[in-house]
Amino acid sequence: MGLQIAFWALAAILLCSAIFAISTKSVMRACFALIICFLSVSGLFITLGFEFLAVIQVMVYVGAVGVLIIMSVMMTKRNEEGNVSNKFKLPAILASLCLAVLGVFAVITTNWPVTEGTASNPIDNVSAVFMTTPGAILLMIIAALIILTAIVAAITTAREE
Amino acid sequence: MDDAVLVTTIGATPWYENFWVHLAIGAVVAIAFFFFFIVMYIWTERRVIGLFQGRLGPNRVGPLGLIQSVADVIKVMFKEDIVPDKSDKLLFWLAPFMAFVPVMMILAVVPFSENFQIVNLNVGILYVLAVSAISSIGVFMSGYAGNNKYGLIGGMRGLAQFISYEIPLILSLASLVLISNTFSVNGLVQAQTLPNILMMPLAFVVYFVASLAEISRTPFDIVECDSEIVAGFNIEYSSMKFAMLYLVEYGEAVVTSVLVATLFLGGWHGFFIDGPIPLIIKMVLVFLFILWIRATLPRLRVDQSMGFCWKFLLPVALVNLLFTAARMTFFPDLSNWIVIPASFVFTAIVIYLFAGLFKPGRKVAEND
Repeated sequence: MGLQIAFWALAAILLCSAIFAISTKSVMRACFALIICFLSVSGLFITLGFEFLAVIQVMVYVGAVGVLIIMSVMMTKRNEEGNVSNKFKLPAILASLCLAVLGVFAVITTNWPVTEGTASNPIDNVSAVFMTTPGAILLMIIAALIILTAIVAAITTAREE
Repeated sequence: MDDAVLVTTIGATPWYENFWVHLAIGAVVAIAFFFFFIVMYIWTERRVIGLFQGRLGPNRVGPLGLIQSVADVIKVMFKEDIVPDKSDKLLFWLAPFMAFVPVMMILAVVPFSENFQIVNLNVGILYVLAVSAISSIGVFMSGYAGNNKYGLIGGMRGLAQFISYEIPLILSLASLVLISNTFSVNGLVQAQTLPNILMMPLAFVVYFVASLAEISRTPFDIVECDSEIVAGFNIEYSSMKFAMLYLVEYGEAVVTSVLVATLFLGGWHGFFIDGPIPLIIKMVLVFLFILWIRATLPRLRVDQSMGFCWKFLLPVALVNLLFTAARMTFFPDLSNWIVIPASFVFTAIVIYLFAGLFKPGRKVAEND
């Protein structure tokens, strides 16, 4: 019962902050509304029993993507009055309509598999998958190498000399 | 999914039989712990810094000045609450909460003794990192919302410093997880038959320095650098909102010292008894060490702080992770009599080598 209430409350916060993010004039307010949106998504994950995913959601989307958006807004010139040269209203409406129709169609027609029983310890599952699946370690190492390359590239780009 | 399933899924170890009673008692204890130590830390900081600077510090209100902070809180509460005219009112109101609440939330996974912990999350360490990211956004929000350029600069500095120092912090915690083989904070404490600081001094150095920067204590307090940006992000705040932002700084100090004591100094393990008393002694010692650093070192400049992170701390953290992984792979059963001296020698060598590569202020001298 408590979880149901939490789920619907979080869903309401999610929708309100998402609508606020796209309707507000101030860019920074939109940023913060988006961050609240991410937070409530992670709350939804917790109510569904995916706390590993929820924590990663906060770390990646709030700690990294949210900060990145704030940084990029602060780096651009002053644009608090909203988007000044927007001539793409009609294409945008059409594209989002198409997306909405596709999404609703996909959700309605998919046959969602329902499993019985409760979720086991998710962090154990994650580590078990990484340690036992052949090739998973290789993927980890490749991802680590890509991140290292990105760090080195960023430092090289930022050097002044 | 009903509530009982939630209890087993998030790994709560009910100290009291009913989970909700356990949660309520735990929350009350944690919040009381948090506020009590914030007040005591403020008093300790003022007295100890006074000691270092050859003066007395607060000594009039109550015995030894102990309830000076209470008097300060009462004074601050009765101040006029000023909201700047051109500020973003909604964010201005929201920011102190956004900065304050996550700091307190971290205590939910800190084990006060073997059986008393609010929730024993199996992703505890990741939870700590995730929640502290929210707090940094709250600090930036308070800097932005006041519509003051000093506040904005302070907030941006805080955010930039936070995301830079988070990388070495996470890397040092990764080596910890590698050794203890668990993400749960209580599991990490249980794994420490010897404190981690003896097994991995280098990880401790990296973690401690990075967390000093994350909570922007001296020498990394460029966020509130009085001489440049007149106290930074909280400049437009007054009354209770200011008090909340002020409490954020000390709350972060409380949480950081608890985490250092838990992750590296053995947590609730003690010489004679286990439980909250050794933990509290250790966290106060860690805080005194932080104060010692504050009284000793000057503040870094912005570019020096960033350079220190990217050119010194990050490579050191990577080397530490590499060697820890190598040790766990090739010599998993090495005797502690070899590991401890070897890791101290290794730490000294690595710090000496990498310190030669990074010299703050050298470039400025060349430019002059």
